[in-house]
Amino acid sequence: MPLLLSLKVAGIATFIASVMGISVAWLAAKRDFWGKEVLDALLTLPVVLPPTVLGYYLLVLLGRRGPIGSWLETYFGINLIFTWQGAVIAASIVAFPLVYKSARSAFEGVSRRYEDASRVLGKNEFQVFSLVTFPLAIRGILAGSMLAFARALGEFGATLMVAGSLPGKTQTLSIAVYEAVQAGHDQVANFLVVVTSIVCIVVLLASNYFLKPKYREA
Amino acid sequence: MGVEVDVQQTFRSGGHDFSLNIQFSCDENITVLFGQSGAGKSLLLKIIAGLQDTQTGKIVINGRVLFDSSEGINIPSRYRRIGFLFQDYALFPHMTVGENIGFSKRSIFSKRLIEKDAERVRELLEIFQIKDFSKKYPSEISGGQRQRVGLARALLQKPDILLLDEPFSALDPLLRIQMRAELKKIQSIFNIPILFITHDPQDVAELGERLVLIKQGLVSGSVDLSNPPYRDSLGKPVRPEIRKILLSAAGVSSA
Repeated sequence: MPLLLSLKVAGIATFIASVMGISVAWLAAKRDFWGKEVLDALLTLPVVLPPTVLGYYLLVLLGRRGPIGSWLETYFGINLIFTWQGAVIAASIVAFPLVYKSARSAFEGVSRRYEDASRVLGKNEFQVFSLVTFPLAIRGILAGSMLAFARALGEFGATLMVAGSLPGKTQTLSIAVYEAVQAGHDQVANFLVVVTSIVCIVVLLASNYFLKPKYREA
Repeated sequence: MGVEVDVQQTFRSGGHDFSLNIQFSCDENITVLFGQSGAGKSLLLKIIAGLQDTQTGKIVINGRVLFDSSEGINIPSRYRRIGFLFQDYALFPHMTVGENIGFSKRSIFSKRLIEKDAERVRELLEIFQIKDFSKKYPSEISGGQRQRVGLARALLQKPDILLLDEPFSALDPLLRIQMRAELKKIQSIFNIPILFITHDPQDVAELGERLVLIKQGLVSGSVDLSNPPYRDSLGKPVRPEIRKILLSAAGVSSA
């Protein structure tokens, strides 16, 4: 069932993209280090690069003869190409900048006064983050994660390059739509399109709900 | 009891260098740091609280060394036991009044406090007359109430000193008069030294026991205001005398 596969791939990809995106975003927003803006540009690249180009990079890296692919193969016997896990990696990378960008601006929007106030009130840096910075940035981060999920759900180009279109194995919703139209199965295509649209509308409604502020800045 | 501050720090911003070189000590209950905007007063408070790095110097509060560059001592903010009231109070907008006050004693897992601390929070709510708002968010209460919440929050962890960064500048004039009186009362209840920065001469006259004048990053004078000629025989401030010293410090002749 392409829908379940898509939800699984997009769900895991969103989780990975969120964890990494939030960590890097915090570093970029709250700490100074050399080459920060270059790193920012590199991390944002997946949004601007055509998905097929991205997919090609991934194939080169993760393929049997690629640097990461051959290493995984020799030491763990893992092959990611043409697997749903490969699709997860493709979707994570495509979704990453959406989390990263919104989390970074959400963290930057948390005034230093609040963090300083909690430092003088006896909190260490981890407590400052978990009690103040993160809760004050959570709405922006969730909005980014929702967009990332929607983007991962609709991911087509990079996924097709890396994971292919094996029915029941790697054929996600958006790829299944393409295949159905190509094969002239209009009814299947109609059904999949309606399902995808409903899922996306639900995601948008949910993100609007999360974005509703529960308090105001004083 | 006493505060000893001696800090040097050069900042660079926008191609301009700004040097802070400040020494003063005080024993009085309320010390007012007076100077114009941009004189480096806020920076000084941040340095004392450990929120801003400083190059050389020494900071001692009640005999406890918080910073000493020659000994390599630099105690992090969270261990300095300093109560800090920010200019706009910096109340956490996502927490209620009660949660804000209890913040220093809560864990990261739960906002529940142990009974002893919860009792202290109730006491502070009582003293500051904000019990009725404990479930409200900072955005739902008035400026004066916010200031009380900020003070209560700072006092919960029993600090050694209270630093106030222009606490009254965001309040309207009538409220200022009221809050000055409250601050005096609080000082006597908690018996804690207060270091207080302002550029309002009224604050100096009403509250100051020691006056430290700051001008362009330097101390330009330190005056004991608790005795004549600055206090009359009843202990009331003698405004013309205080005015005179503030004006001459600002380089304005009081003809």
